Amino acid sequence: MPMFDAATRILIADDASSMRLTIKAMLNGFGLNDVTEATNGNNAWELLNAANPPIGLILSDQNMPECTGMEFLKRVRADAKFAKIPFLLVTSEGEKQMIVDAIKAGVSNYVTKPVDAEALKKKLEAVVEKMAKG
Amino acid sequence: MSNSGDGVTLPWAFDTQMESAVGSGQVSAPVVDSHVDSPTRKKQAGGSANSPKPVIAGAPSELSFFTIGRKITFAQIGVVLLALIVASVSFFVSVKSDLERLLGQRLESIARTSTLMLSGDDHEAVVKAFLDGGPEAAVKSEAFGRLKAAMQKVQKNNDLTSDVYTLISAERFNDLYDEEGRKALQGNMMFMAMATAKEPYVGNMMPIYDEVKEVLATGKFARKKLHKDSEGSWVSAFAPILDSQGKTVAVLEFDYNAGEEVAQADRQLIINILIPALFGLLVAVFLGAYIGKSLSNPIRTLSDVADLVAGGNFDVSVDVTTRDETGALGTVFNKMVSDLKKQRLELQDYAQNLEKKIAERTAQLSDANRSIQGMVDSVGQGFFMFGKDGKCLSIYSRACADLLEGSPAGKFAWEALKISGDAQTDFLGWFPLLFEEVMPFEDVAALGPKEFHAGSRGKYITLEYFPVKDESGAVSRVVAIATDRTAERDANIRAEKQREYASMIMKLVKNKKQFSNLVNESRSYFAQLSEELAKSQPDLDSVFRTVHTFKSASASFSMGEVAHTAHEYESELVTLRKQAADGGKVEFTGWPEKIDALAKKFDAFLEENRGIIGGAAGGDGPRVEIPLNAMREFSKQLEKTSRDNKPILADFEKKFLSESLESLLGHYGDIITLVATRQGKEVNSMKITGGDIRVMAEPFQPLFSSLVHAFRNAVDHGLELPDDRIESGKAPTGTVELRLEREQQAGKTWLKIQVVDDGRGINPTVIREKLTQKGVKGLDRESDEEVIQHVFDAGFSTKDQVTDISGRGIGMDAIRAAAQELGGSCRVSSFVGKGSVLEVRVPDPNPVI
Repeated sequence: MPMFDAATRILIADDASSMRLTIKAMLNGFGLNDVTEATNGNNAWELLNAANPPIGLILSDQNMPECTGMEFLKRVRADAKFAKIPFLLVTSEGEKQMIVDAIKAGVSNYVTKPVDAEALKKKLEAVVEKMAKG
Repeated sequence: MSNSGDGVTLPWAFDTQMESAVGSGQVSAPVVDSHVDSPTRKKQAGGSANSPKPVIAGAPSELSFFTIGRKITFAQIGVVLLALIVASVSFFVSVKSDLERLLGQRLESIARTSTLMLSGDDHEAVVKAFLDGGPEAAVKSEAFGRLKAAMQKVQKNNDLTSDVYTLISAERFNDLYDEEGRKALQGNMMFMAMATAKEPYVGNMMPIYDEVKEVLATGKFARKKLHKDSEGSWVSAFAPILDSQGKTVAVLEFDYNAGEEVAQADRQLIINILIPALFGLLVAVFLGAYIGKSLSNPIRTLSDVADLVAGGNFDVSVDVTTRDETGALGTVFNKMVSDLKKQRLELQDYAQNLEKKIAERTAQLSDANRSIQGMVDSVGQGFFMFGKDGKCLSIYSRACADLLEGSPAGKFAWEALKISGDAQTDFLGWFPLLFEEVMPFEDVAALGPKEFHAGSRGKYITLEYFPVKDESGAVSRVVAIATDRTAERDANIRAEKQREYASMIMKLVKNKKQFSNLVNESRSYFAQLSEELAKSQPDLDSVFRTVHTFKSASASFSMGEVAHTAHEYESELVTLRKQAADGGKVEFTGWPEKIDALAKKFDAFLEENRGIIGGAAGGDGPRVEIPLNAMREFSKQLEKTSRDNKPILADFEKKFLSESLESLLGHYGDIITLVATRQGKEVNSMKITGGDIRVMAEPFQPLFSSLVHAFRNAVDHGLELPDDRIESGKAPTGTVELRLEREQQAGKTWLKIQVVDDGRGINPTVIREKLTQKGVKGLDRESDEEVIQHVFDAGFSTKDQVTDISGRGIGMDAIRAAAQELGGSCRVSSFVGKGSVLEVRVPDPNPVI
């Protein structure tokens, strides 16, 4: 299965450092090492705008203080520069309706906590495949 | 000319004149055998031959050339030619009619299946758009887009090169026009939707076909035979388009340009028939001109046979025995007839094969359909399918009717699943995403309803979704599968019950002592309850607390039925307390009987499990196992003493009737594990420090029993779920610890009991909010530490949901009551996010040192 290019710059947004660490370790396991970390949606937005070379994949937690994953997603999708960046939302069990809304808002896929490396890999591969199909 | 059956009547006559002219009869009338005929056989020749075989016969002779030749005239040649042309044309017509029939059948079968894909309601929407805003508006409408897409798909699936379009009768707009306008509409039909046209001719009119009229009037399918226009030769089929009420609203037309096939038939006519005929004609003309002008029987014969062939009889030929011009003509003729026959046979073969193949395929298909239906029905699962509009198709498995309590056909998926209210809004938001494919189907499917909730028979029915993709790989339908997992669930429940029963037995066996205590306490609980309820004004809080404590204790020993009943009563008491809080009057009618019933259930439980529980269940009080060495030691001591054995008795009591705190409180380790398992939490096995401290258990029993709430709360309210713990940087497995100490203070011996957990702690802000909601005043004067002590208040709870584990906040109240009863106190301390400590201090009036 195809995976993101090793040079892809990845932005992780999560208020819990342990969670960022976990996801980062998993990404490293897939050969993805260029990871930038943000602690909430606002912070992620700043980093996304400042990133050069640009970010190629966003993994954002939903429940964050100040600016939630959903709000961040909407901001990203509203900006033509970022409208095509793959965006995965990290959610908790029982947030189905929120995910449906996120799909409508243009999320690429979602991962449910507790995040499992195998599941995350599958989701990333599906996103890459979808991008290849256009 | 007749060619029917075996009685072929041949009109030619045996010509005696010719016979004499050609000696032994070079040319004769058709006969059955090759013998030279006699006049007497003439009738036989005409009456009995299945395959009449005319003969141009005779011994080869130099003479014959001239004899026959002289008799050939242009008139005869004309007759032969005419016959040939008639034969050719008849063949040509038969080829064309076969062609027409086969193409017509194929088109009609396409029409029959395709019309199912078109929505009459959509079509009506297009007509309306057309009326409202003209052709452009019609083309822009969504309904037009859907019709167009469906027709394009039909075109593609069936390799149709010509356009597919729909027609309506122009006269349906009569009401909108005056006399003049109506005249213009009269007898016309109108194009409405089409699959491919670049500049749609929506609204264009042309004279209505009879077939279109018929379809509109009867709703039946129709075909139009080969017809020509400037664009080509066409075969057409017409199908009704039905709206959701089953009314025919328009006609779907399929055309097939048969130009190529017609041209091929024409070519065959020219190559195989006309050219040989012309060739024959040339030969004849040449010979005729050369030889003579008189009539010739052989040619007449040939002409008659040609008539037969024209009539469709290809089983005739002429025998050619001479090498003259007549013979040459005969040879050409025979070749032509045999070619014709061959082609006719090939065509028949082809047609029959095609029909057979179609029949076989149809049979296979309906066979396959039946098998699939049978298979699907036999699985016992409810399969049904819905499309992008959410509407269920008429294809579904029989089990649906049972599992979903009704047939889904024609309903919307959410109606079939009986989803209403907010859940329906959710469903409507969700299901269109199944077709959008922004992410893998299963990821979207996972967000849909997983269970059929509307079942009226307590069945447990799960739902799964699978995509049906069209040739382009796009999701066109969704199959929903409903599976009855009631048996599975019940088996799980039974297994769980058995597991609980086993664990109960384990607990009883492991903690006989505690169980024995519970039995004794329970008797006092029931006595207390009876006493309280006998009062004129029973104290609701006291009744509630006692029932709750009994429930917790019975639940901790997994006494299924007993704990369940106690839980129910407790819930009823909660309702009564609410009534009381709202100022209502509380009636205890029926409660003494209830408590009595509960006591009976408890006794029944003891009786049932007597084998396991043994003496502990009896009312003989606690049983003590005394180590043999200790008994010997005791005997020695007893021997040494004088008559005054009082201190010895005291020593005996302390030594043998005292119990270690571990043996009295250790079983709470099982409870924290049990509660944690039920809640998906993880907890280390309970660490006990100071468990070897011994006490005279008797006075402490109520306190020790009430401590069950402290342990339950530590897990339920304290410990977080593993993921949350990881998020807060803690180990996923939580810890609950029991610390026991003996202290000397103010000349008294105190027992200090601490239940320590490393959970989320008690958040004073939350407590303040909760208390404010409950109307408690003056909190702003209390420190955080003081505020959290309110957890000991009667009726305090920070959990909104009532569970059978804890959460009514009443347990902490019981602990405080028990501690105060012993002259002690209790308090909580907490570090938010780090954990909490519940501490109880009580004096020990009779310390065992």
